[in-house]
Parts: sequence; C-alpha cells; structure tokens
Amino acid sequence: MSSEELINITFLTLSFVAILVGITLVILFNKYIQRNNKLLASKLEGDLENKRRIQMMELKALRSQMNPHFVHNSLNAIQYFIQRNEVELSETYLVKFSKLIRLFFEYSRRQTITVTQEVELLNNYLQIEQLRFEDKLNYTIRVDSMIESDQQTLPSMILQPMVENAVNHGLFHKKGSGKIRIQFIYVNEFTIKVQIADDGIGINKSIEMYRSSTQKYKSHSSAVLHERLELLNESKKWSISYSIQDLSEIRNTSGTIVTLTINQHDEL
Amino acid sequence: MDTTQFILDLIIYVALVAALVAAIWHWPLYKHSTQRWFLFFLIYVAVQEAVAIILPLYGIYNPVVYNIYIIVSFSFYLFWFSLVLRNRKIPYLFLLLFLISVPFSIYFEDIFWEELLLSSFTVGVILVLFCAALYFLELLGESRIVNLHRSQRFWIIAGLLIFNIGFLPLLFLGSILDPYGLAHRIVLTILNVILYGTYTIGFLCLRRN
Repeated sequence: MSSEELINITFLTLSFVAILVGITLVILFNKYIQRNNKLLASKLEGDLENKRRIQMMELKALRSQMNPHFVHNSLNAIQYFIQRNEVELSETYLVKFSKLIRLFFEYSRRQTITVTQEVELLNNYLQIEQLRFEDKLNYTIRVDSMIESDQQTLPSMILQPMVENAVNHGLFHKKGSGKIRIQFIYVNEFTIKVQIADDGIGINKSIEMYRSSTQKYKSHSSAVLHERLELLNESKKWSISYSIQDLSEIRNTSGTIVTLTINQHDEL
Repeated sequence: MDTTQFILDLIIYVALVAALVAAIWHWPLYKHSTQRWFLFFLIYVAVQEAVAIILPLYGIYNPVVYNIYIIVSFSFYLFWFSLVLRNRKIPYLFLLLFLISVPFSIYFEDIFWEELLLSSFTVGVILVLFCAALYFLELLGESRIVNLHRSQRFWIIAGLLIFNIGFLPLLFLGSILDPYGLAHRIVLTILNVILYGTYTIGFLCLRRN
C-alpha cells in the first residue's frame, strides 16, 4: 500500500468517524430534549391537575356552604317572621341572608381572605343560624389585638364549615341554649391559631348518635374540608394543622374544641 | 474532468437544488423569520456551484471561486448566528475574528489564486462549530417544551454541526491530501448532501407546522 493510499484511507476513516460523531451528537441532543419535554409536559399536567383540583374544591366548598338544609331552614325562619307580620325583623334577616349568599359566592372564588372578611362572614352566618335556633344559640368571636385583621390573610372557606359542624353536630342535639366561642390567636408574624369551641354534646357523642341511627355517618362538609386542607398543605404555601377534641376528655364539661394552626409560608 | 468527479459534483448540485426548491416553495412560511436569508444564500451557492462545475469542463481549475465561497459562507453563517443566538456579541466577535483572518490568510499563505485558503477555512469551521454548540447550550437551558423536529433552526444548525465536524479531519490532513482526489471528493459530497439534506428538511418541516 502506497503512502498516498494510506493517507486517503486514514482520511476517509477519520471523516466517517467525525460524521458519525456529529450525527450521534445531534441524535443524543434530540433524545435529551425529548426527555426534557416529557418531564416538562408531566409537570405542566401536574400543575393543571392541581389547578383543576383547586377549582373542584372551590366548587365543592361552595356547594357544602350552600347546603340545601341551611338555605331551606333560613328561608323558613324568615318566612315565619313574615307570617307573624314582623316586617322589620324579616327584612333584617333577609338582608343578612342575601349578604351571606353573596359572601359565599365571592369568597369561594378567592384563594385567601383577610381576618376581617372571615369574621364578617362568620358573623353573618351565625346570625342567620341564631334565627333558626331562636336565640338559643349564642356566640362570641374574639380576635387577638396583635393580629392585623385587615392585612393578615387566611385560606378562604375553611372556618365556616367548621363552625357549621359545631352548630349542626354539637349544638343541634343539645337541650337548652348553646354557645360557640371562636378565637383568633396570634402566634407569630406568619402563624395564627384559630379555636372553635362549642358547649354542645361533644364529638364522641355526636359520632355515636349518627352510628346508632339508621343514617350512615357522613358529613359532606367535613369531607370537603379535609380534602381542602390536604390540598392547601400540598400547595406548599400553607402549613395547616387541624385537631379536634371532645372537651369531656380534657375538662369536666361537654363540648368540642377544634384547633386550627394556620402558617403562611413567608415566600408568599 | 473524470466521470466519477462529475457524478459526485452532480449529486451535490441535486441536493443543493432540492434545498433551493424547498426554500422557494415554502418562502411564504418563513419570509419573516431570520431564516429568510438562507434563500438568498442558497441562490448564491447554486450560482457558485454551477460556475465551479462548468469551469473545469473548459479545463479551468479556479480555486478563487471556492475561496470567495469560503469567505461569503462563513461570514453569512456567523452573521446568521448573531440573529439566532441570545448572546449576540459572541457571533459578532467571531465574525470579526473570521474577517480579520481572511487578509492574514491571503497575505501570509499567498495562495488565494492557486489553492484553498486553509487557515481562514479552519478558523471558519471552528467558529461555526462554537456557535452551533452555543445554540445547543441555549436550548438546554430552555424551560419550555421545544419541538425540535419542527424547528427549522434546529435542522439547519444540526446540518452545520455535522458538516463542520466532518470537516475537521480535512483540516488536520488538508496539507498532505490531494484536494482533487477521490477520497476528498467523496467526503465533500457526503458532507454537502447532509448539509443540504438538513436544510431541505428544515424548509419542509415548516409545512407540517
């Protein structure tokens, strides 16, 4: 083999290797980008799924707040005032009821509401419930002075279902008048503790009653609430711990206390 | 001119014409993009290749045509990269470097009228390879879904990358190789077919878009 042939063969070999290297690089790059695309697509799908779940939760929360029993009972109570010709009182409650419905719709669309707005909603809700209970229901709402009520935000549609549980499962079966105490306690700049206490029959008795009854024990608003708390914790914007205790287990009194510690992550 | 060389030149020309036809056919689809300059470039290359094929038929071997092609093509590619890359300064700097290398190459090698400007060619190949690598690096940093199969830029730059990597052995062995030898012509044909093939795919993928 002459040296010229050797050079030509070496050149051809090197050139083919170089071309192959170039093609391989492009193919590998293409594969990498495709893999990256898949990861991005799955992340996007996850985000979309999360958004869809949040919207579903908002809808469910709204549905649970607007439960037909509550609407029916409230309107019945207003009708009762109208029949008794207590026009002023019926007007007052009708206004409160319409305002409450408006707030349900408005806040269910929001991710967060301020403490002031939450208190306004709870006040409205409890006033309507008072109407149903014919003043056998008393309540107090206390907000720690350290909390900047107009600035501090909370996830929307969390507290009202809990208060509703206190009314429907705690006080409803109690003989005589009952009381609900709601407290907003300052923990630190990003954390608020909310306690909802009632002096009703207590969670243990309430569960027993539902189990022994022909009805299957199922609270729709509680299920929605748990799902929503789970979703909020998953969002990494909030850390919310939730505990429920029967007061007879810790004090010599009946009732239930729900404690909610809401921590808003500071990157928000 | 022997038959083999004529056939190889013809293959390059057919690949080039295919790219040119695709470029003209799909002109409305990319006339507002940075790739629009490729149509004019391909027209220039077609004319240049025609001259390069015709001249030897009359017994004239004129490397000046190829030397002008080297200057025009690398300048064009580096200019185009300055429009495509996010970091525009680097291709501009590369273009400047390349243009500076040309007079140096002409003056010191003193072969403009007789042989290929190997120094300028080497500089051009390396700079275009750098730009192609930069493009791929920029793509790696993308946080959005990129459909490469339908990206005209990707196909053009992939072609440029393979073409210029394939030229590296020529840069190493260029001084001892016969520029009109068969081995040289075969490699050149394959590289050109790949380059114009990727251009054609780049123009055709616009239709699918």
